[in-house]
Amino acid sequence: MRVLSLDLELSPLPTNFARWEEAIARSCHDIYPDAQLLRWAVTGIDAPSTARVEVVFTQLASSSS
Amino acid sequence: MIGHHPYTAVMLVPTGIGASVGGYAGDALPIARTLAAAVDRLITHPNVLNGASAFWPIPNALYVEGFGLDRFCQGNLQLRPTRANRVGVVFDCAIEPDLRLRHDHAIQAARATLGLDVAIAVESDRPFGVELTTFASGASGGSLTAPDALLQAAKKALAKGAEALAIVARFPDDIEADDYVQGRGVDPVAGLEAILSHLVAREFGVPCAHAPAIRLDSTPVRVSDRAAAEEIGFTFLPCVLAGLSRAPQWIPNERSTPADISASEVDVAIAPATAFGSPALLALNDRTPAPLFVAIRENTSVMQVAPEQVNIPAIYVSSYLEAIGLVTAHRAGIALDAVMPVFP
Repeated sequence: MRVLSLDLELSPLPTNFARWEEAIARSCHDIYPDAQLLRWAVTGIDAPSTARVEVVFTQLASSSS
Repeated sequence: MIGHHPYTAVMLVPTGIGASVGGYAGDALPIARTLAAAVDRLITHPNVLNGASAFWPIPNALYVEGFGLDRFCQGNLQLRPTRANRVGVVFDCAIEPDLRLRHDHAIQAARATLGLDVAIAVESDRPFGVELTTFASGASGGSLTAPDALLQAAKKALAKGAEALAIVARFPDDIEADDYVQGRGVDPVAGLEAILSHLVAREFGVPCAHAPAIRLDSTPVRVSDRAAAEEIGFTFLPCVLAGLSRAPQWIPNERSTPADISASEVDVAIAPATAFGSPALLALNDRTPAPLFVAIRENTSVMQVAPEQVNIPAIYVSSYLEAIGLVTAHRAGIALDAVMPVFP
């Protein structure tokens, strides 16, 4: 296992907590299929509806992006 | 919501974002003490309450690590106050013997001087492999090359009877912190500290917190008041041991009792006005009814998420003192419109 960090952009903006977490997890999985979220935060919103998100996740060391 | 439960506040100052209040060495603690005097229960996190060798036990404050606080606010766990926890300390084996001895002294002092139950210490079999990074926002973060080493050591400490875990990782000595010690910018290690505790919290669901092992300069320099608490000792461990010794246990909903504290009992959530992109706040906003949200303008940071941008209906105030006045009115059941100035 290893712990990695990413800066992401999400659009459109999710409408509730569960959708935020789901969208962030999906974005991580697109890059690291076995990523498991550890910590995230929305850091900014750009007009009209793009969110900047920082995310920390764990990934099995044997897998690759 | 004003209900029959004790009036409960959540105070958040996210870690590693350069918050002008709470971004340094326990410098939000005076605010937490003041807020605690205005509420029945204050739920907050180590970043607010930790000040290295300086700390202050607040009887009605609940010390909840960030991952647990997020899960609590999501309604995934409840908090059970305790009289005392048996604290285990998990050491990174990368810590040199003399630096480890300084931390052992902190444990000894916690036992003999504070009367804390800190009987368990476990050393990892491999270095945690910490690496500091910075996010695009400017917030501090990091990575771990050997998180398994941390988790295995934590598991051993729990097997020995620990009920809460203090994690001590060896951080680099050559960290660029000139601005930080002068009370400016972002704490370069705080983000990675949160990652370490989140990892253990996610795996084991127990109270935990982190103290970095750093070899401090032998020649003291003038620093900001806000950073001074980290200059007065050899370790940052004392506040963590004190906080964890009375941290509430994390109770899964299926094992909870009516006496445990749930997110539905949160009456007010207070956070910096540009840091409303936190999972805890987003989750609390989904609750029905949602708590009162208070956004503090004076607490600036590198975050750029205002409450309205994520559909959180917060009341803006200029300062924490103003927020505490608002909280006092809310607790008393006074209509906030009646006590807020109206600007045409």
